[in-house]
Amino acid sequence: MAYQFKKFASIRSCIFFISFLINFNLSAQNKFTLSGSVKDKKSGESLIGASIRLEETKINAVTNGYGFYSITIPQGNYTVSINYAGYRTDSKKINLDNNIQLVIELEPISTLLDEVVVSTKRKNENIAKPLMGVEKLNMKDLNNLPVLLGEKDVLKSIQLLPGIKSAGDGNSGFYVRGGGADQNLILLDEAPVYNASHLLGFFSTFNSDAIKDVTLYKGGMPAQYGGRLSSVVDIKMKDGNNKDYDVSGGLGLISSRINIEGPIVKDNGSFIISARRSYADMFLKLSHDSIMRNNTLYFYDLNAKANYKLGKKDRLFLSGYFGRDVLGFGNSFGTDWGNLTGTLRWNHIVNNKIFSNTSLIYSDYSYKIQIKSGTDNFKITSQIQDINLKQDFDFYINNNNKIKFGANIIHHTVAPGTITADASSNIQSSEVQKRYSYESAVYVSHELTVNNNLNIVYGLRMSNLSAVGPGNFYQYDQSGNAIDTIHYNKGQTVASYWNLEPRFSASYQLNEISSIKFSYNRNIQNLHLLTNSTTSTPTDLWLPSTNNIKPEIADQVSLGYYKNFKEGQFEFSVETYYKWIQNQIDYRNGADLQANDNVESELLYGSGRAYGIEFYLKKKFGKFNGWVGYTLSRTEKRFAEINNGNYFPAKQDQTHNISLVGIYKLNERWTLSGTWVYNTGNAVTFPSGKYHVNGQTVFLYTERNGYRMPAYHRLDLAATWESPRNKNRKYQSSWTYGLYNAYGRENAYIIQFKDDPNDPTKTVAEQTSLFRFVPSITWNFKF
Amino acid sequence: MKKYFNITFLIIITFTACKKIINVDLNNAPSQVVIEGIVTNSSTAQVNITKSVTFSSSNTFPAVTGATVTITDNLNNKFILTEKTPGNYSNSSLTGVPGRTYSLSVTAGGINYTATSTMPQQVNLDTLLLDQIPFGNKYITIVQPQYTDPKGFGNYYSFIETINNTVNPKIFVWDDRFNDGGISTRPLIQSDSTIKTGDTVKVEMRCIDKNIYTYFTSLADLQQNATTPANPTSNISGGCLGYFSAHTSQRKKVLIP
Repeated sequence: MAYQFKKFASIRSCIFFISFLINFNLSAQNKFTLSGSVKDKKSGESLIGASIRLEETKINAVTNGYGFYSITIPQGNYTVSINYAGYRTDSKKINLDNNIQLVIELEPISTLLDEVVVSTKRKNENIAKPLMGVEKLNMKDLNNLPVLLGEKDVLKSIQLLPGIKSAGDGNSGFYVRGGGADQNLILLDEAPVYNASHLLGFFSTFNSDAIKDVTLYKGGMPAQYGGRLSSVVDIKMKDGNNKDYDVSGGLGLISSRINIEGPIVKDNGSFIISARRSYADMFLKLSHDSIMRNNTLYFYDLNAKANYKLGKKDRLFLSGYFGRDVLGFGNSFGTDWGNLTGTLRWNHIVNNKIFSNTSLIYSDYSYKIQIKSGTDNFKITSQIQDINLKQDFDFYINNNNKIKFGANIIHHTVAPGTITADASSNIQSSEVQKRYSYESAVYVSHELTVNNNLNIVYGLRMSNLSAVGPGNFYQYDQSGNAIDTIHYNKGQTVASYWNLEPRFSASYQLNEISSIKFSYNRNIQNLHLLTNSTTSTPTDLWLPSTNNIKPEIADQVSLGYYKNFKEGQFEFSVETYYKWIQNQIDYRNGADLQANDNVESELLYGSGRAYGIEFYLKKKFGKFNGWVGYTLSRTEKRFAEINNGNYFPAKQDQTHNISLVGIYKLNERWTLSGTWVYNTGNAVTFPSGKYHVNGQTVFLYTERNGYRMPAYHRLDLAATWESPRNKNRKYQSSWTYGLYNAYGRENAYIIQFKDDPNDPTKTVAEQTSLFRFVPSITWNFKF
Repeated sequence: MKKYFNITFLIIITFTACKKIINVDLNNAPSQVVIEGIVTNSSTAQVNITKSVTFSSSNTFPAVTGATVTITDNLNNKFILTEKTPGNYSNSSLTGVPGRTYSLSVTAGGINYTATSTMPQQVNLDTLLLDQIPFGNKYITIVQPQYTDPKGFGNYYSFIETINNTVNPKIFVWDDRFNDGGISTRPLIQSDSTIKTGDTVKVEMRCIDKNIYTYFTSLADLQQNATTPANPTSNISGGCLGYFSAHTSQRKKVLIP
């Protein structure tokens, strides 16, 4: 208790420190506040990250996640110019003699050929911002990039950015700066998505039609985010057109999509419904084989959102996602799995300087497996469920000081496995104990402009995880045998972990077009994914920290240099990072993770480190745009029980990683694009000998991940044709033709070692590769 | 369950996957001693001692000859196993008794290796049932050994399936976590099963101890191409590969109609 009090005391002193730093300008000059929001003129969608600049000054503001901005400046006449990529720049003259509210609507630029008017000041905004390790995905580019089977996918496209690695050929899973695939916090309208993939990893759960904005933080996470070690992928759904009804959709090889949006009350409320279903199973139905016909395999997902303005100061948002994968073999085996999320948000403008958002968030991931064999008929279910209450404030004190603060509390319920059997079954109904916990956090973050050259953001997040009863909790000895069982009653605290997560980043502008940035941050992860499979399987199990499992901790420092040249046409950056990771999890040999009450006895705990350097050169405007990314990195782990306690490379340790992306606007109709990726093969464990046991050849392993898969490289191409625009008709359509792995590289997916089928006295290595020359065609429409 | 997902995975990749034999430059680990020792309640105790070889060698594993091999039970009955053929040590007067703990001692090349294993009480294999299930794109015949698990967790089973005198290399090993004290008819499922009408299928059921269960689960993981393969944890100390198991053994056979 005393310890907790001390932590609170330190938070309090920190707030004092912040208020001390804030320069409340008490000079005689009258100051007024200009606030409001920025929107798309055609659809009324609020624009995130739009820039508002007062031309007479150096003052610049950026809209927040809901399109809100606020600037406080001395009385006077100003020219306000508003910029947002892909929109025509607007400028307005104002006479600021009282507090003004200004809603700005920007007109989208219909084609890339339009002269893109972007002020030089705006072009160099990336230089001054103290944020580093942040990437924004342009949803327009996404439509033009080639992807496997033409199924555009935000999670696959972010893999083309430096520092981000793919979890495998055609896979939507990814690793950020050496962190595991489970260390990415993937948020859809603030709700965490636990299993972000369909069809065992080949497609992500995000239907890009419904997505407005994707921001990825790979380092220097702002204090409002927490819960995962390596990255935050903040995905925001579209609000829906509040001016006019829109229907759009598409037909592809894998799935078809439909998207409907429109006003509930014109300018005051709108809705969007976006649905997608795959039809791989339709091909199975065409099979001549009656058994194949009885197999099922498909996924679907549904995004829906509605918002309504309750007045000038209040707006409500209700958004949800529901997706499911279904797979079955005749009537002997059936399974389905998926996520369900729901977010209710209330935006409230407290006054022209304080913006508040309150969210109630529900998130659920579950799977069900039905097995029928002889008289046995039973099902296995598993679920993780979160209820999260969150309050955030943005406080725009003055032009040099901005504060974000807030708090949240999540209640996690994890049901690792419940078996429900028919009375006729020999299998018995049983349940692995449910686990309950509360995860809470308070944070404060201060963005401070020290002078024209130096900007800093620093903050502190204090997080807690409390594992609570009811349930039996075990203590294990060194070799994983249970030595003690303690029963806890409902609500009783089993273990409680307090952690302070300092976050700091600073940018120092060397001149108009170049800067250096530094950041340090500590992240804590209290939910741990247990999986011993290569692909993302539906049976992935998440467990919260308990008396045995400690919170995972990552400390990261990074340093970067940024330069823009050719009038801001080119952006260059180099970032280097070093990460220390504690309390990582691995498994004992022969670990059984499924429906095992003693699963914690199967775990090993160790540490890790990751470091690297990332180069990025991007051409932002013009007929031809794209980027080159190169990462040189190392990721290692250490466990006392593995590799004699020495560091060994993590699976995702790829020394070199290159990506090239090019998009070329040939003319009004045609856009061509290509991507090329290259990376060092993943670290793997291969045999270093063999022996005979149990009547068979068994391979002998010496060091963990001591070998490398062959290098991976691939070229993808796409061409998009857009129908000629007709001012009188709303109808538009486009065709996208793609070719995945255009030169047919046989990339090794797995390498298996086995007895030579042709000569039993020998053993051989057999390589399996997946996708070569995969063509695709997609038709999109809008009316 | 995992195998269902593996099969699904195969369906997904069938259209495009391609396989080829490649050359991989592998390290040559120094040769290690491999001990496989078995005491059963129905046959002669056997200990095989061999050595591991490099990956590129042929599949002939050199025998370790001239070792001193003894097995002692918890009643202090000591049995010396003699070398009948190179590397193969046995003693026909040692037949195991359920409930007893056996200790193995092997001295080879100046190194002493020791292990213990307790033979569980025998659980009767009542019968072998047959069924056909759809799997991927075909129906496969499955054999279901039926037995009644004794009340109380901690029973471990292993099954060896022999189809027309050819041992099925697939490892079937499980515990009583899901049906403690109940009748089990859990099938022996192999996706590329070749069982057809007219075949004779023999099944050996073994009641094994926990260490051996863990050993064979790890070995089964290796068969299924585990993500990060590792040598199964041996219950033999002294630094060698292999295992020492005291288990019950019971066989039944069935003719596929």
